[in-house]
Amino acid sequence: MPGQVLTITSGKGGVGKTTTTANLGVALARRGKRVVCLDADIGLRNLDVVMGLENRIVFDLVDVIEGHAKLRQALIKDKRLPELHLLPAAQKRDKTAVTSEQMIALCNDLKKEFDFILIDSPAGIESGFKYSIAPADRVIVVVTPEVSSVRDADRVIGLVESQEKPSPQ
Amino acid sequence: MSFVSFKGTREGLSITLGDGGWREMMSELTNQLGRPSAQSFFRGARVLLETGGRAVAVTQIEELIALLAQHDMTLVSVMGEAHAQANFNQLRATIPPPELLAEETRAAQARETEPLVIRRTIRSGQVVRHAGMVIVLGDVNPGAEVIANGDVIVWGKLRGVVHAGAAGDLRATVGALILMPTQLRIGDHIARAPDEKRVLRWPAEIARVRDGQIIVEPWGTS
Repeated sequence: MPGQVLTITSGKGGVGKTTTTANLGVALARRGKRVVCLDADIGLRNLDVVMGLENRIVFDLVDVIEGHAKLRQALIKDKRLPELHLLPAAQKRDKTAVTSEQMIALCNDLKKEFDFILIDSPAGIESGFKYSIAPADRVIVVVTPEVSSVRDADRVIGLVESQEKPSPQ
Repeated sequence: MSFVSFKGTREGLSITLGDGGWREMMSELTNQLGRPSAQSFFRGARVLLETGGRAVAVTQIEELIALLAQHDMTLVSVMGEAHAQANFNQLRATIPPPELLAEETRAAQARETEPLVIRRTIRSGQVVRHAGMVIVLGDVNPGAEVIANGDVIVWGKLRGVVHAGAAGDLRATVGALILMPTQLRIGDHIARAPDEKRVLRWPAEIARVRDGQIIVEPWGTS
């Protein structure tokens, strides 16, 4: 069975998208699922720091998409859980380096090898959000109990629905 | 309106790109360099390109190198927000000029190139690339990169990614007052920071390649 793509997003920043992605990745990997966490926040990457894999980065998402590196070279295996992998974002570039079509093609490749592809979306609803949502089979919207977070989440759900993705449960 | 500005520095001629289109900029540069009064002034200059926030593709860098070559000028370093350097990995091949050189020649060239002195902190997402030695009077923060064909010396905390001898010179070294890089590369060797928290050591340390691997030792012990 091909893998599932879950995108973790929120609209508002600082609500815990990255934390959620990392913990979800660990939980799924502990259950023996093959998982890749994909940091889509190009230019402001953090998932590598949270996962403690910062010092292992040689190639990144943009290198793979531009053909400078093979997917296999850029994937970083977790220190403790062999089923858990990270595909880090580029820090030296910005969101214009990647398109929705390229993300869909990349995820189609990843689906062959992984049960779950967790995409850590950047905050906001601009191009970074759009290319993060494009390949998603399901979308997880992270919300904190603050009015601004709830408002942004509602906006994001509307945008997700307009992309004909399944509605959040 | 001016699309490019020139500034003489101790390391060479600094060319800063403005906001205009690439075509306009190249034609202005062609005009400026072509003026009779400029001919002798610019001849033989080593050029430092400041890209600012502009996106510059490898083909454009190559175009610039070709234009400079007509005036007997050489591009020795590129600085700026790294997204400015579109095909990042290929730039390594672009500086110094792309002809294939023997390791000895490349090492010699790196030694001959004037050092680049940077008097500020290099922050996340910023990249410094130079054909010679790089001296940073400041810190190199995590997420920043320094790539030099010669040695790298940081008078401060080195916590980002550093690549010395990037053209293949295995005698290149990396020194810092506080040497805690995310990743340290010399030539084609690569070492990463230990996973456990490291106790800060004093005095300053220097990294070099010995017996095929990167080692770190206190400054001045060998």
